[in-house]
Amino acid sequence: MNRGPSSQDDQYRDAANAFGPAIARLARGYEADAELRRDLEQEIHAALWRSFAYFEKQCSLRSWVYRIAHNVAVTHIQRSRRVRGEGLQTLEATEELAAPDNPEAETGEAQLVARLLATIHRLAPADRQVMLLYLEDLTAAEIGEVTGLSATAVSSRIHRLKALLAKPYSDKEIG
Amino acid sequence: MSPEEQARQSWQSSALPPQLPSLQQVKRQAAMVHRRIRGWYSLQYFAVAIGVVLAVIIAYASPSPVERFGQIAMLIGFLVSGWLLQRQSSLQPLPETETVQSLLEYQRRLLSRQRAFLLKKMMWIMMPALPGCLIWSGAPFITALVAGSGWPRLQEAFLPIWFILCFLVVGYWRTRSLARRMQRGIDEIDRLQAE
Repeated sequence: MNRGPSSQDDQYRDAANAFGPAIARLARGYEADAELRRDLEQEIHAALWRSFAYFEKQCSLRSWVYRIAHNVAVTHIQRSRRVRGEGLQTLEATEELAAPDNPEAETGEAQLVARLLATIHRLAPADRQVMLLYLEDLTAAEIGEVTGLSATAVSSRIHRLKALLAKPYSDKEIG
Repeated sequence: MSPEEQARQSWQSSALPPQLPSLQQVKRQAAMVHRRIRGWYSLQYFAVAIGVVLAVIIAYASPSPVERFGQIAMLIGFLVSGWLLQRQSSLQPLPETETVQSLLEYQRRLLSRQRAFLLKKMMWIMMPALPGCLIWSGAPFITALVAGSGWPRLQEAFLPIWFILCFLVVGYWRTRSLARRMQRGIDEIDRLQAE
């Protein structure tokens, strides 16, 4: 069913207000280059607006927004991977959080975010999706709904992710 | 707080890079600049057309052949100005890929080209009408000299001179002020792009 333009606009406006910062963080997780990130963010917003023409509330608004955003972002990194030939790795192959590009400039929390970002940028699309959704506080069921992964696959990735996030702290305690 | 909770919290509260204005805003702005420059050219064309009409009327009504010659020279000058203006006024269409960056780039190109035009070429575009204007203002003196009669009254001669002076001063002031406004637009775009 095609909704009226005003209803579509209103739905988009509400979603953009509620999830704008999350979409910006997600774009940052998918694209390191500032200019391309802006383009990606706009692509996501455009896709989101278009999607409300056929949104039937078959899932929660949050899941819908993330699903659209991740689909656009995954297409974006697949395209840029072909162009730039970047090598990506899986969550299983990632031993610890990557060092940020400029570690001297980062301190405390900022350094943790920079390390997270550096790691996220290296991950393959499916793992990246799970990581970003997990960081946005989505439950395993919601992550499954957005990504289409089975509950078992999501749980095993989250388990691996928790270990990865805990590693710097456990290393500190041992040291 | 567990490490993963801390990571989530840090991630969610992390400062986001400054945002560019929305695509809609930039689109509106780019279209407005495009419209404004087009309107400005229309005004110039209108001024040239008025100049042409006035030159024809004055040339037709003037009893003095020197004045008539001056007006015809002015008429030719206005036509040349119109032609020069037409060569400059071909505006690029809005870009096909509408992203904030491409629209900002487009807007910047438009403003830079226009600013360079105003500062370097605009006065030259006004110049072709100047020789005719000088002949027109000197006509009473030339006529008096040829006829061997007395010099004309100064107020008669001053009218065309005032016309030329106003024409040049207003033209110069207007081009400078428009160029400054365009520079402000360019600075604003540079600031946005730097972010």
